[in-house]
Amino acid sequence: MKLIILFIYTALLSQDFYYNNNKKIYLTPLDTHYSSAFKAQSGVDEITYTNQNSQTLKTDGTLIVTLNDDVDLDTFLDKYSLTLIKNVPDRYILVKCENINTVLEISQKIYKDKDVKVSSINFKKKYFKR
Amino acid sequence: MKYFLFFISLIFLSCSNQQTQVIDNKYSVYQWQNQFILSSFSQTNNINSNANIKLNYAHNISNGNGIKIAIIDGNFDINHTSYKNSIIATYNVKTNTTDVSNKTNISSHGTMTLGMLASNDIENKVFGSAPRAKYILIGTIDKNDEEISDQVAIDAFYKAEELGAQVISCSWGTYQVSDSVSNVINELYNKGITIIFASGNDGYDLDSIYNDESELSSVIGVGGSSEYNNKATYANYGSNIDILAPAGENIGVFTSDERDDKGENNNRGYDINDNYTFERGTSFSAPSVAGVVALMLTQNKNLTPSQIREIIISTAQKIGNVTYNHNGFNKEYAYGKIDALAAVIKSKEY
Repeated sequence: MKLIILFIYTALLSQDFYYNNNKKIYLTPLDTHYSSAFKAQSGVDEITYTNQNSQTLKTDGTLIVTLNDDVDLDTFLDKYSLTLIKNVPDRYILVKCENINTVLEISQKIYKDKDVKVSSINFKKKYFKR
Repeated sequence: MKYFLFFISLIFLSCSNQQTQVIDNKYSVYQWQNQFILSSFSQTNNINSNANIKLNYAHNISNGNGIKIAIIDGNFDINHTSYKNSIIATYNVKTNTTDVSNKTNISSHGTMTLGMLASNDIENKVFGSAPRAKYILIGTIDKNDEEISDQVAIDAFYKAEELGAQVISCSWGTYQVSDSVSNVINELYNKGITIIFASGNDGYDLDSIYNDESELSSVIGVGGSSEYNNKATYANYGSNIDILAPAGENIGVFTSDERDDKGENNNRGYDINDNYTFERGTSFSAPSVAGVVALMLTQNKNLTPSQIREIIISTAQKIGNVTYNHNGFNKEYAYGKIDALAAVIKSKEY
C-alpha cells in the first residue's frame, strides 16, 4: 500500500510529462547510455522516453507549433528562447529549444499559451506498418 | 450411337468451357477480396462465397476515373506494370525529393498496399479497388526507417493536399497520434478530403489505452475481415473503428509485389509469377476502402467526407453472425464489412 501511494505521489510530482488531447502524458527517460552513444556517434542530441503504455518516444528538442493569427513570430521565439528551424506559412513552425533537457517544460508552457493554436513535441515514434 | 456421340460432345464442350474459364480468370481467382469465383483455390482455402466486397459488380458502374488518390507509405516499386501508368506524382517527405523507390530486395510495404488500389493488369486479370483512378505516392522513409516524426507525417498530409488528392489512404499508424497531426487531418477533412487509416494487427481493443490515428473522428478507421467472412482475429477494433474490409486470416489477400525475384514472392504453392504475392493485414483493408471512396466520388463528386462515411456505414454488410446494436454497430465488427456495390449505387442518388 505504501509503495502504491509513493508511486502515485511520485507520478503527481513528476515534471516529466507533456500535454496531448488536453491530458498529461507522463514519461520516463530511457536508456541514457544509448542516448549518449547515439549522440557521440551521430552528433545528434536526443532523449528517449517511454510512456505509460511502454511506447517509445524520442525527442531532439524540436516542437511543432501553429500560432494564432496576428501573433508576432519573433516575439514568440524570444519568449521561449527558441530557434526557428522551418516556417511553413499559415500552417506550422518547427522550432528548437535552446537546451534539449528543457523540452518538456517548454512544451507544457507553450501548450497553455493563449497565442498558440496547436503545439506538440516533434516526437519520433515507432512506425507500424499494418 | 447417336446418343453416345451427343454425350461425348457434351463432355468435350464442358471440358473446353472449363479450360476457357480458367484462362479467362487467370489471377482473378486468387482475388477473393474482389469477387467469388468457384475454383480449386476457393475450395482448398474454404473461401466463403460472401467474403468479397462485390467489387466486380461495382466496377460495372464506376472505376475511379477522374479521382486522385494519395497513398502515404514507406516506399514503392514505381515501375510495376500493374499500375505504373496510373502514377501522376511522387514525393518523399523524408528526403524532400521525388524518389520514393525501394532500395532493398525486401518488398516495400507501399508496393503491396498500392496494388490493392491501383492494379490494372488486364493480361493477368488483376484489379485493384480503383483501377482507373490516378495516384500520388507520398514516401515517408529513407532506407529502412522504422520511426516517423510528427513533422514528417504532417508534411506528408500537406504534400498530398498540395498535389490534389481527394482521398488519402494510410496503412500505418503510431498508436499515439499527436494534437498537431490530428489538427492537420481535421483541416484536410474540413477541406473535403477523405482520409482512411488501417486499424492495425495486434488484436488490441483500441478503446483501452491507445490513441490511434484510425480512431480519429475525421478519419474512416478500417479493421480487417477474413476469407471466412468474419473479423480477422488479429485485427484491432474499438468504438471508433468504422468498417471492415478484407485483410485475410490464413491465405491473405492477393496483391502486387516487387517485380521478379525481389519481394515476398509468397505464391502459396500456386502458379503465380513473381510480380504478385499473398499478404495479410489491415494494411490491405484500408486501400480497398479508399478505392471504394474513389468509385463513390466518380459517381458523385459533391460528396463530403462525412457523407461518404455515412453511406459506407449505412450500406455495410452485417457479417459474423454477431449482434449489432440499434445503430448497426458492434464493437469488434464495427458497422460491418464494406459493400462496394451498395455504396456506389447509394452515392449516385445521395
